[in-house]
Amino acid sequence: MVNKKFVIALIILWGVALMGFVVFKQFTLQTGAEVRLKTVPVDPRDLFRGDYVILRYDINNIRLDSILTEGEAFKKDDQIYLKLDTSSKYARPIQISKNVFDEGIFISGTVARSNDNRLNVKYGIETYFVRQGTGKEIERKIGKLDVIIAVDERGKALIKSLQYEDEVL
Amino acid sequence: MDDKQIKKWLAEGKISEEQASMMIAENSAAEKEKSGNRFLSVISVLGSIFLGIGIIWIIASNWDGMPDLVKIIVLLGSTGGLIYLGYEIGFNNKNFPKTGHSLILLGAILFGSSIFLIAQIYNVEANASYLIFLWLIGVLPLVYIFQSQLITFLSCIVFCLWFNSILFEDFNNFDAQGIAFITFFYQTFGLLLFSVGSLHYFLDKYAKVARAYRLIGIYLVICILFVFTFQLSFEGLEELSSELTANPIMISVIYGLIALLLGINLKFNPSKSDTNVLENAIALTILTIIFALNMAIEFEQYYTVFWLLFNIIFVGLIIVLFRIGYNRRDMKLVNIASISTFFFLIFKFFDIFSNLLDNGITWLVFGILLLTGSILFEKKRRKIRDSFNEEKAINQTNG
Repeated sequence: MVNKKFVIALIILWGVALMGFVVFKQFTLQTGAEVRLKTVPVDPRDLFRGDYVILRYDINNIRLDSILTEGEAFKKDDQIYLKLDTSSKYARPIQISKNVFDEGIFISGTVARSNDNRLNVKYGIETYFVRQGTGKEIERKIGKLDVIIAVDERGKALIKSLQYEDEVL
Repeated sequence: MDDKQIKKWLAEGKISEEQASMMIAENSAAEKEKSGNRFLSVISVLGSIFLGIGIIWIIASNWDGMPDLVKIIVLLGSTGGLIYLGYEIGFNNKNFPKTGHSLILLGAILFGSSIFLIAQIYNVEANASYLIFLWLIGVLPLVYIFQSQLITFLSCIVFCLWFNSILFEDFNNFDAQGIAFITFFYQTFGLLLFSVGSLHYFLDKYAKVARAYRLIGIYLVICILFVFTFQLSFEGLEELSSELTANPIMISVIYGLIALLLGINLKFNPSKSDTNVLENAIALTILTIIFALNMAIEFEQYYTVFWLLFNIIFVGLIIVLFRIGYNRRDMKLVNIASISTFFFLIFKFFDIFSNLLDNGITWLVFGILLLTGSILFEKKRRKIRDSFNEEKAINQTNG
């Protein structure tokens, strides 16, 4: 005998879980600080997969000797926080740490590869879903595209929009 | 009982002609009812699939034009609606149980689709493992609420998807190392499913779930054991040593847990099976060999010993499956054992005579062996099946 209460509870739980996911993401989008990142060209063969494009930024590749560190060693899968300078048009990295910064705008990421003083970091903003049939058009513009992201106070980032020559795509 | 059996009883004088004709008429009516049910269940599953495709199609084709909030409401409404409808017609009113099960399965799949479609709105990576984990967490309660074998199978598939997504994140390229790692994982997962599945027999209402878990466990274990019966599978395995021995404590804990669960099954026999000792003993043996290979993976010189052990244990497992299948009159186990034997022999033939494959006579002999073997196997399998059915019929008549 299947208990009706359990069925209804599960449906509600599913709804709450999905809505929670939505609320969480909306919160970041609505309250997060806006940061503009410049995309960098990537190998075009891997760029457009199905209905999403792969985006790469300057901040994906970090040279540890070019920014401030706290002397920490970073290895694959480490969670990092990257402090950004947003005073100019494009945000640029100024400091990296394994700990959350007390102030300023920073983005959290995970070390994908670590090689000497170079780190490859992913921030969860490397995928952008496009309308069907528009992928190739965006692919041609990669490297000249700006991505506007929202970063919340814990460093979680989400893509707000893609811009080409200051026009939202 | 089948018509052949009835005629046999009639010829032996066990039943009268009148009784025989009544039994044959009853058989024919039951057969019609059964084929009607089968037809209904196929139609139900097809209907549910079409319904699902329809919903996803409507959502997908209007996706770009739909405001985000509408997308989310449509997805939530369809998912919840399907589950509730499945419950109402399949479990509450019990009018269409097959359709009910199909709708619930569809609802569970749509729940997964909803997670990915909503994630897509926020440009979250499609293969992010936590999305699949969320799906798994959502599907697991369904297994226990509805005790459905279909959902149990789905939950195992989602679990494997989740693991694969973690692996894809870790391995930048899905190379031989990745495949070897995944092989170890599925072997362990198969044994875990078997042991966890058996525990479900402690509560009678989860007997169906237990059987589904155990069957999937057996399928996985037998497939992976089969892979390790070939020396080729051991090539380059030593490269995996850093991955597998990186965390020996974790590996020991996982294997220890499975051993503990199998030990509980062995001692308390939740399935009340008379072949309980045999079942758990073979599972523990396989676990021990896999664990030993894990620990000795960097010592290439032992690979031949392991290869031999895997061949012995594979043959042993087939014999055990035949034995248990025959003891319990379980045709599914007999089928698994028959198919495994058949594939084992074919591939071993290729493995042993691979250097003679450029010879026409080898192919001729192989063809003859294959044809004769398949006919003999099928004949034997049918004989066993018929004997099971006969016994079942006699028991029903006596009961």
